[in-house]
Amino acid sequence: MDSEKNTGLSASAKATAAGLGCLRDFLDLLARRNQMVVWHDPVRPEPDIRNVSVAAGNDVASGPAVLLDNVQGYPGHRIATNVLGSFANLALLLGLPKSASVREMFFEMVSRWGSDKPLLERIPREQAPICANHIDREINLYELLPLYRINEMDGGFYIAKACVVTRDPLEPDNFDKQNVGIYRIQVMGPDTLTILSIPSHDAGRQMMAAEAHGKPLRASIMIGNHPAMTLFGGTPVGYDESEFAYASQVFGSRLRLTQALNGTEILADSEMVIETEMVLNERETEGPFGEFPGSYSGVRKVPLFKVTSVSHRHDPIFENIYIGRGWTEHDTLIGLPTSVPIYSALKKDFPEVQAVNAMYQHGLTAIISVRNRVAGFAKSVAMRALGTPHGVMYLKNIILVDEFVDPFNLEEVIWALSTRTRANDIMVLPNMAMVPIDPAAEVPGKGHRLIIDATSFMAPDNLGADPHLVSRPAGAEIDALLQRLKSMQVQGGEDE
Amino acid sequence: MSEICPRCETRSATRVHSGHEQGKKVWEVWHCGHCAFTWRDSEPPAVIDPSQRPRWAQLTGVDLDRLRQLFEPQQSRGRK
Repeated sequence: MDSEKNTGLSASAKATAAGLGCLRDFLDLLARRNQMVVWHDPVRPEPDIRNVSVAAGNDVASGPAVLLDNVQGYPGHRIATNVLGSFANLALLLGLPKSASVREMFFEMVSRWGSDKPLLERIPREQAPICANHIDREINLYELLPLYRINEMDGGFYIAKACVVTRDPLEPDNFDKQNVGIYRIQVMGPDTLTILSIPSHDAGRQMMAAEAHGKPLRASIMIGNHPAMTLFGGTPVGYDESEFAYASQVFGSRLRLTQALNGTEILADSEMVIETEMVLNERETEGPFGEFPGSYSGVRKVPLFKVTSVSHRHDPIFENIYIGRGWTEHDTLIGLPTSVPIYSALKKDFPEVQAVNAMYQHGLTAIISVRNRVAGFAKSVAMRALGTPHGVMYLKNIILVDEFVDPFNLEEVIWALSTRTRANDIMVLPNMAMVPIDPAAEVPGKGHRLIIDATSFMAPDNLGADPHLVSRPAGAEIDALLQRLKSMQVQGGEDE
Repeated sequence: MSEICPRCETRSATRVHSGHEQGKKVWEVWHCGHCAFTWRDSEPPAVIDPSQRPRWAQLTGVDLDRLRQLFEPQQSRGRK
């Protein structure tokens, strides 16, 4: 079952996708392209794993994934970190050269967007690598996973890059309402944990429905997943759209699914699945956790889950993320999957929209490039963005720039702010819904939005005395000249 | 055996796991049954010594039943 959209993938993208069935395949690809390092030196769980992860992620352009295989007290265990922590790694996943620009990757993802013809295959449990080992008695998560503290003031040990599969408790047979999301998970005991999903997220809605109707809610926590799945675990798709379907189609990778014992579907080639059931109306003290705004979320009462079984591949890899004060792997991982759906939603109604860069702190700041249809038009585009599924909670600061400004080029964006913005073109929208962990909220979950219209004025506006733009030479000729200058530069001198 | 929790400073913590290298114990993981703090005894004092932890991170004397709920339990406990 091939997708029409995937026939549009480039030859190299198709070849990449065909070779990627799971996390291990991707790590092999990264290793072949010098984007993966195996760290054999002994590391202490704290603070060494954190420090190695941060160091790898500090090279946002081309930092490597790191596989740690010598964690003190966890002989035989392996931890993968920073797997999608650089744009070079993301480019390789998309079948592009390591040097591809963020803008190129954005339009590559836009061109593949949709889930009309997913590439999903279902296999029985006996054939699924994830079911090779099964534990349903004396479960001890501390034994099964090399757990560690991600940030020093976290309340405990977190599983922070797992994809959680839940079904609608009122429609457990509906595949499209099966949700896959990345939610932070704090281990609370050998066989208990909390899953934090706010009510505006799909899993949070399902948890509330389960309690309201007294129905069971079962969650399968998949660890060490195909990187396309990881990207889509954090992507806002419609409630009745499948993240499995999106992930397979956008990345052109055939994903193999199998049945978990609890009725959910899981990736057959992931490293581990922890099957759990929500303990209805029970809460545990959760947090703090160093979150993506760069500050610790508070301590809260969060729904508790009991582990019912664990299945895993032979020698499973624990893939985890460093998240905290940016830039971190979280920002690289989630930046484009946040930007693309906002762009796609806007483009339907407003073809003048050129590109959307919502990469900053999960979209707390977004830059939209748009051609003004009429004077003041850009502000209506911003309002529409606030009404997209992600915009409702996350888009806090929206900067609008002209269609000739590249929103991925921050020098150009600052030029627009410097030269286009008039102070009365700034709109503050008070007391709107806001993601609860934004430290700038007035109260958790409520705060103000900011729209800065940095597009050029047009009639009937007063254009000012000197509105005529300089025509800056650009295009292939200039690019070729720069290449020539660079080669002359390399040949010309010696390093001091 | 219970120990004092570095975060809430009640004697509510129990050992939940220990790590070994070549048969020798190298650390223990502890979990507080009161405030749910989890730690490894090999972590730096800034994390596991109550006198060195920042005040904002402490739950000493805090009534945990009054903490914010992510969302309220949808049914009162014990009701079907």
